[in-house]
Amino acid sequence: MTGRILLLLALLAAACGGATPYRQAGALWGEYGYSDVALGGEEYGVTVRATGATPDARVADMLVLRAAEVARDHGRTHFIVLHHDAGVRNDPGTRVLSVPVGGLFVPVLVQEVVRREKSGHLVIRLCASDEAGAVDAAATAREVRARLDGGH
Amino acid sequence: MRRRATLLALAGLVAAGVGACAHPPRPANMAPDGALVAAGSPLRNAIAVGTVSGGDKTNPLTFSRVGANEVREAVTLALRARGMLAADATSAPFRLDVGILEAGLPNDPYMTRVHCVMRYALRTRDGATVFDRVIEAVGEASVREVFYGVERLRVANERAVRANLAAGLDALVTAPLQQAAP
Repeated sequence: MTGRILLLLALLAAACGGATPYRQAGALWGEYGYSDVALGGEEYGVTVRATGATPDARVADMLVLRAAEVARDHGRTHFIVLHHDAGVRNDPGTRVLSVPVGGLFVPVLVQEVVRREKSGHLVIRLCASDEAGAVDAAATAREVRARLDGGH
Repeated sequence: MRRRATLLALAGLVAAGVGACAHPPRPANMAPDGALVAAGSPLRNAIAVGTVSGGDKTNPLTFSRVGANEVREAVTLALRARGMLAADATSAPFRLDVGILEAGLPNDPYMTRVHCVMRYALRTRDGATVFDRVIEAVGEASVREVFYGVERLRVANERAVRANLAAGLDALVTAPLQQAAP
Protein backbone atom coordinates (compact mmCIF):
# COMPACT_ATOMS: atom_id res chain seq x y z
CA MET A 1 0.00 0.00 0.00
CA THR A 2 2.77 2.40 0.98
CA GLY A 3 4.59 1.46 -2.22
CA ARG A 4 1.57 2.36 -4.32
CA ILE A 5 1.19 5.72 -2.61
CA LEU A 6 4.89 6.46 -3.16
CA LEU A 7 4.57 5.46 -6.81
CA LEU A 8 1.54 7.74 -7.21
CA LEU A 9 3.39 10.63 -5.57
CA ALA A 10 6.40 10.04 -7.83
CA LEU A 11 4.18 10.05 -10.91
CA LEU A 12 2.48 13.24 -9.76
CA ALA A 13 5.83 14.91 -9.13
CA ALA A 14 7.06 13.87 -12.56
CA ALA A 15 3.85 15.14 -14.17
CA CYS A 16 4.08 18.52 -12.44
CA GLY A 17 7.79 19.19 -12.46
CA GLY A 18 9.24 18.46 -15.90
CA ALA A 19 8.98 20.17 -19.24
CA THR A 20 5.57 19.79 -20.85
CA PRO A 21 5.51 17.24 -23.69
CA TYR A 22 3.97 18.13 -27.05
CA ARG A 23 0.42 16.89 -26.58
CA GLN A 24 -3.14 18.12 -26.65
CA ALA A 25 -4.27 19.69 -23.39
CA GLY A 26 -7.03 17.77 -21.68
CA ALA A 27 -10.06 19.10 -19.93
CA LEU A 28 -8.81 17.75 -16.64
CA TRP A 29 -7.60 19.89 -13.79
CA GLY A 30 -4.45 21.78 -14.63
CA GLU A 31 -3.43 19.63 -17.58
CA TYR A 32 -0.80 21.14 -19.85
CA GLY A 33 -0.35 21.02 -23.62
CA TYR A 34 -1.74 22.75 -26.70
CA SER A 35 -5.28 23.60 -27.74
CA ASP A 36 -6.72 25.42 -30.71
CA VAL A 37 -9.94 27.10 -31.72
CA ALA A 38 -11.47 28.12 -35.04
CA LEU A 39 -12.07 31.87 -34.94
CA GLY A 40 -14.15 32.11 -38.09
CA GLY A 41 -13.14 32.50 -41.69
CA GLU A 42 -9.59 31.24 -42.15
CA GLU A 43 -8.44 32.30 -38.69
CA TYR A 44 -7.42 30.03 -35.82
CA GLY A 45 -6.18 30.57 -32.30
CA VAL A 46 -3.51 28.31 -30.79
CA THR A 47 -2.77 28.19 -27.07
CA VAL A 48 -0.04 26.41 -25.14
CA ARG A 49 0.00 26.03 -21.37
CA ALA A 50 3.14 24.52 -19.90
CA THR A 51 4.81 23.91 -16.58
CA GLY A 52 7.17 26.54 -15.25
CA ALA A 53 10.06 24.17 -15.98
CA THR A 54 9.36 24.24 -19.71
CA PRO A 55 11.94 26.36 -21.59
CA ASP A 56 10.55 29.44 -23.35
CA ALA A 57 11.88 28.19 -26.69
CA ARG A 58 9.97 24.95 -26.27
CA VAL A 59 6.72 26.85 -25.62
CA ALA A 60 7.32 28.86 -28.81
CA ASP A 61 8.09 25.69 -30.78
CA MET A 62 4.93 23.98 -29.52
CA LEU A 63 2.86 26.97 -30.65
CA VAL A 64 4.39 27.07 -34.12
CA LEU A 65 4.19 23.30 -34.61
CA ARG A 66 0.53 23.25 -33.71
CA ALA A 67 -0.13 26.19 -36.05
CA ALA A 68 1.55 24.27 -38.88
CA GLU A 69 -0.53 21.19 -38.06
CA VAL A 70 -3.75 23.24 -38.10
CA ALA A 71 -2.85 24.47 -41.59
CA ARG A 72 -2.11 20.92 -42.75
CA ASP A 73 -5.31 19.56 -41.16
CA HIS A 74 -7.29 22.06 -43.22
CA GLY A 75 -5.55 21.19 -46.45
CA ARG A 76 -3.50 24.39 -46.58
CA THR A 77 0.22 24.87 -47.06
CA HIS A 78 0.86 28.30 -45.56
CA PHE A 79 -0.25 30.52 -42.71
CA ILE A 80 0.33 34.06 -41.47
CA VAL A 81 0.83 34.93 -37.82
CA LEU A 82 -1.53 37.76 -36.87
CA HIS A 83 -0.69 37.82 -33.16
CA HIS A 84 1.74 36.11 -30.83
CA ASP A 85 2.46 36.39 -27.13
CA ALA A 86 4.06 34.28 -24.42
CA GLY A 87 4.72 34.80 -20.77
CA VAL A 88 5.15 33.42 -17.28
CA ARG A 89 2.39 33.29 -14.72
CA ASN A 90 3.07 33.24 -11.00
CA ASP A 91 -0.24 32.47 -9.38
CA PRO A 92 -0.96 32.06 -5.68
CA GLY A 93 -1.63 28.49 -4.74
CA THR A 94 -1.65 26.07 -1.87
CA ARG A 95 0.19 22.94 -0.90
CA VAL A 96 -1.81 20.69 1.38
CA LEU A 97 -0.19 18.10 3.61
CA SER A 98 -2.68 15.35 4.42
CA VAL A 99 -2.43 12.32 6.67
CA PRO A 100 -4.46 9.12 6.32
CA VAL A 101 -6.96 8.73 9.16
CA GLY A 102 -9.40 5.85 9.03
CA GLY A 103 -9.21 5.55 5.25
CA LEU A 104 -9.58 9.29 4.63
CA PHE A 105 -6.89 11.87 3.93
CA VAL A 106 -7.26 14.67 6.46
CA PRO A 107 -5.48 17.95 5.69
CA VAL A 108 -3.22 18.96 8.56
CA LEU A 109 -1.15 21.72 6.98
CA VAL A 110 -2.06 24.20 4.26
CA GLN A 111 0.91 26.12 2.96
CA GLU A 112 0.70 29.06 0.55
CA VAL A 113 2.93 28.65 -2.48
CA VAL A 114 3.48 30.30 -5.84
CA ARG A 115 2.45 28.20 -8.80
CA ARG A 116 4.53 29.04 -11.85
CA GLU A 117 3.42 28.15 -15.34
CA LYS A 118 4.02 29.37 -18.87
CA SER A 119 1.55 30.19 -21.58
CA GLY A 120 1.59 31.40 -25.14
CA HIS A 121 -0.93 32.24 -27.83
CA LEU A 122 -0.91 32.54 -31.59
CA VAL A 123 -3.61 33.85 -33.87
CA ILE A 124 -3.05 32.69 -37.43
CA ARG A 125 -4.76 32.99 -40.78
CA LEU A 126 -4.40 30.30 -43.42
CA CYS A 127 -3.25 31.81 -46.68
CA ALA A 128 -1.74 31.25 -50.10
CA SER A 129 1.99 30.76 -50.55
CA ASP A 130 2.51 34.10 -52.30
CA GLU A 131 1.10 36.30 -49.52
CA ALA A 132 3.55 38.55 -47.73
CA GLY A 133 4.71 36.95 -44.47
CA ALA A 134 3.37 33.50 -45.37
CA VAL A 135 4.98 30.67 -43.38
CA ASP A 136 5.52 27.29 -45.06
CA ALA A 137 3.64 24.89 -42.79
CA ALA A 138 5.33 21.66 -43.88
CA ALA A 139 8.90 22.98 -43.69
CA THR A 140 8.22 24.65 -40.36
CA ALA A 141 6.66 21.50 -38.92
CA ARG A 142 9.69 19.39 -39.95
CA GLU A 143 12.16 21.83 -38.46
CA VAL A 144 10.30 22.36 -35.20
CA ARG A 145 9.44 18.68 -34.78
CA ALA A 146 13.14 17.84 -35.05
CA ARG A 147 13.94 20.35 -32.32
CA LEU A 148 11.18 19.11 -30.03
CA ASP A 149 12.12 15.45 -30.57
CA GLY A 150 15.72 16.36 -29.83
CA GLY A 151 14.61 17.63 -26.45
CA HIS A 152 15.56 21.28 -27.02
CA MET B 1 -43.36 4.56 7.61
CA ARG B 2 -39.82 3.36 7.14
CA ARG B 3 -40.37 3.25 3.37
CA ARG B 4 -41.57 6.84 3.37
CA ALA B 5 -38.54 7.97 5.35
CA THR B 6 -36.27 6.16 2.92
CA LEU B 7 -37.96 7.83 -0.04
CA LEU B 8 -37.65 11.23 1.62
CA ALA B 9 -33.97 10.61 2.30
CA LEU B 10 -33.44 9.57 -1.31
CA ALA B 11 -35.26 12.66 -2.54
CA GLY B 12 -33.06 14.78 -0.30
CA LEU B 13 -29.94 13.15 -1.69
CA VAL B 14 -31.12 13.74 -5.28
CA ALA B 15 -31.90 17.38 -4.49
CA ALA B 16 -28.48 17.81 -2.90
CA GLY B 17 -26.89 16.17 -5.92
CA VAL B 18 -28.65 18.52 -8.32
CA GLY B 19 -27.59 21.47 -6.18
CA ALA B 20 -24.02 20.21 -6.23
CA CYS B 21 -23.85 20.12 -10.03
CA ALA B 22 -21.50 22.46 -11.84
CA HIS B 23 -23.28 25.41 -13.43
CA PRO B 24 -22.04 27.53 -16.33
CA PRO B 25 -21.15 31.17 -15.66
CA ARG B 26 -24.05 33.62 -15.76
CA PRO B 27 -23.92 36.14 -18.61
CA ALA B 28 -25.22 38.98 -16.43
CA ASN B 29 -22.33 38.44 -14.03
CA MET B 30 -19.80 38.48 -16.89
CA ALA B 31 -21.04 41.69 -18.54
CA PRO B 32 -19.09 44.71 -17.28
CA ASP B 33 -20.55 48.14 -16.75
CA GLY B 34 -18.98 51.02 -18.58
CA ALA B 35 -19.48 54.58 -19.60
CA LEU B 36 -21.61 55.30 -22.64
CA VAL B 37 -19.53 55.77 -25.74
CA ALA B 38 -19.45 59.39 -26.95
CA ALA B 39 -22.36 60.48 -29.12
CA GLY B 40 -20.03 61.35 -32.02
CA SER B 41 -18.15 58.06 -31.95
CA PRO B 42 -18.41 55.84 -35.05
CA LEU B 43 -19.00 52.96 -32.64
CA ARG B 44 -22.21 54.45 -31.21
CA ASN B 45 -25.08 51.97 -31.82
CA ALA B 46 -22.93 50.55 -34.62
CA ILE B 47 -21.72 47.10 -33.59
CA ALA B 48 -23.35 43.72 -34.15
CA VAL B 49 -22.09 40.67 -32.31
CA GLY B 50 -20.49 38.39 -34.89
CA THR B 51 -18.83 35.05 -34.34
CA VAL B 52 -18.15 34.04 -30.74
CA SER B 53 -16.04 30.90 -30.78
CA GLY B 54 -14.04 28.70 -28.47
CA GLY B 55 -14.62 27.86 -24.85
CA ASP B 56 -16.18 24.69 -23.50
CA LYS B 57 -19.61 23.66 -22.41
CA THR B 58 -20.07 23.02 -18.72
CA ASN B 59 -20.44 19.38 -17.81
CA PRO B 60 -22.67 19.35 -14.70
CA LEU B 61 -20.78 16.36 -13.35
CA THR B 62 -17.37 18.02 -13.49
CA PHE B 63 -16.41 21.70 -13.64
CA SER B 64 -17.96 25.02 -14.56
CA ARG B 65 -16.49 26.07 -17.91
CA VAL B 66 -16.80 29.20 -20.01
CA GLY B 67 -18.91 28.54 -23.11
CA ALA B 68 -19.32 30.57 -26.29
CA ASN B 69 -23.07 31.00 -25.81
CA GLU B 70 -22.69 32.58 -22.37
CA VAL B 71 -19.91 34.87 -23.61
CA ARG B 72 -22.03 35.92 -26.60
CA GLU B 73 -24.81 36.98 -24.24
CA ALA B 74 -22.33 38.82 -22.04
CA VAL B 75 -20.82 40.64 -25.04
CA THR B 76 -24.31 41.68 -26.16
CA LEU B 77 -25.17 42.98 -22.69
CA ALA B 78 -21.87 44.85 -22.40
CA LEU B 79 -22.20 46.50 -25.82
CA ARG B 80 -25.75 47.54 -25.02
CA ALA B 81 -24.71 49.01 -21.65
CA ARG B 82 -22.11 51.18 -23.42
CA GLY B 83 -24.45 52.30 -26.19
CA MET B 84 -22.46 50.44 -28.84
CA LEU B 85 -24.90 47.69 -29.82
CA ALA B 86 -26.56 48.19 -33.19
CA ALA B 87 -30.35 48.07 -33.18
CA ASP B 88 -30.35 46.10 -36.43
CA ALA B 89 -27.55 43.57 -36.77
CA THR B 90 -28.01 43.17 -40.53
CA SER B 91 -27.29 46.85 -41.26
CA ALA B 92 -24.68 47.43 -38.55
CA PRO B 93 -21.51 49.15 -39.83
CA PHE B 94 -19.30 46.90 -37.68
CA ARG B 95 -19.23 43.30 -36.53
CA LEU B 96 -17.33 42.23 -33.40
CA ASP B 97 -15.91 38.71 -33.52
CA VAL B 98 -14.74 37.27 -30.22
CA GLY B 99 -12.57 34.19 -29.81
CA ILE B 100 -12.05 32.49 -26.46
CA LEU B 101 -8.46 31.29 -26.62
CA GLU B 102 -8.22 30.21 -23.01
CA ALA B 103 -10.57 30.17 -20.04
CA GLY B 104 -11.68 28.25 -17.06
CA LEU B 105 -8.90 25.90 -16.00
CA PRO B 106 -7.52 26.76 -12.56
CA ASN B 107 -4.15 25.54 -11.41
CA ASP B 108 -4.99 25.18 -7.76
CA PRO B 109 -8.02 23.64 -6.06
CA TYR B 110 -8.11 26.08 -3.13
CA MET B 111 -6.96 29.48 -4.36
CA THR B 112 -8.99 29.52 -7.56
CA ARG B 113 -7.40 31.93 -10.02
CA VAL B 114 -8.27 31.50 -13.68
CA HIS B 115 -6.80 33.22 -16.70
CA CYS B 116 -9.07 34.26 -19.53
CA VAL B 117 -7.56 35.12 -22.91
CA MET B 118 -9.87 36.44 -25.60
CA ARG B 119 -9.33 37.85 -29.08
CA TYR B 120 -11.39 40.77 -30.30
CA ALA B 121 -11.64 41.54 -34.01
CA LEU B 122 -13.80 44.44 -35.19
CA ARG B 123 -14.64 44.19 -38.88
CA THR B 124 -16.41 46.44 -41.29
CA ARG B 125 -19.26 45.20 -43.47
CA ASP B 126 -16.83 44.41 -46.30
CA GLY B 127 -14.81 42.22 -43.93
CA ALA B 128 -11.85 44.54 -43.33
CA THR B 129 -10.41 44.20 -39.83
CA VAL B 130 -10.09 47.63 -38.19
CA PHE B 131 -9.28 46.52 -34.65
CA ASP B 132 -7.54 43.33 -33.59
CA ARG B 133 -6.43 42.69 -30.02
CA VAL B 134 -5.76 39.69 -27.75
CA ILE B 135 -6.38 40.43 -24.09
CA GLU B 136 -5.63 38.43 -20.95
CA ALA B 137 -7.38 38.97 -17.64
CA VAL B 138 -7.60 37.01 -14.40
CA GLY B 139 -10.45 36.21 -12.06
CA GLU B 140 -10.10 34.99 -8.51
CA ALA B 141 -12.31 33.51 -5.85
CA SER B 142 -11.03 32.19 -2.55
CA VAL B 143 -12.33 29.56 -0.16
CA ARG B 144 -13.24 32.34 2.25
CA GLU B 145 -15.55 33.92 -0.34
CA VAL B 146 -17.11 30.82 -1.87
CA PHE B 147 -16.60 27.65 0.13
CA TYR B 148 -18.00 25.17 -2.36
CA GLY B 149 -15.33 24.43 -4.97
CA VAL B 150 -17.62 23.99 -7.99
CA GLU B 151 -19.27 27.36 -7.34
CA ARG B 152 -15.89 28.95 -6.60
CA LEU B 153 -14.72 28.09 -10.09
CA ARG B 154 -17.90 29.52 -11.62
CA VAL B 155 -17.42 32.79 -9.74
CA ALA B 156 -13.73 32.99 -10.72
CA ASN B 157 -14.65 32.36 -14.35
CA GLU B 158 -17.29 35.07 -14.28
CA ARG B 159 -14.82 37.57 -12.85
CA ALA B 160 -12.14 36.67 -15.39
CA VAL B 161 -14.47 37.08 -18.37
CA ARG B 162 -15.92 40.29 -16.94
CA ALA B 163 -12.44 41.78 -16.49
CA ASN B 164 -11.47 40.67 -19.99
CA LEU B 165 -14.58 42.16 -21.58
CA ALA B 166 -14.07 45.42 -19.70
CA ALA B 167 -10.47 45.67 -20.92
CA GLY B 168 -11.41 44.63 -24.44
CA LEU B 169 -14.19 47.18 -24.83
CA ASP B 170 -12.08 49.92 -23.19
CA ALA B 171 -9.34 49.22 -25.74
CA LEU B 172 -11.87 49.22 -28.55
CA VAL B 173 -13.23 52.61 -27.56
CA THR B 174 -9.84 54.27 -27.09
CA ALA B 175 -7.85 52.69 -29.94
CA PRO B 176 -7.78 54.43 -33.30
CA LEU B 177 -9.53 52.25 -35.84
CA GLN B 178 -7.15 51.16 -38.58
CA GLN B 179 -9.25 52.64 -41.35
CA ALA B 180 -12.10 55.08 -41.65
CA ALA B 181 -15.56 53.91 -40.77
CA PRO B 182 -17.52 52.76 -43.82
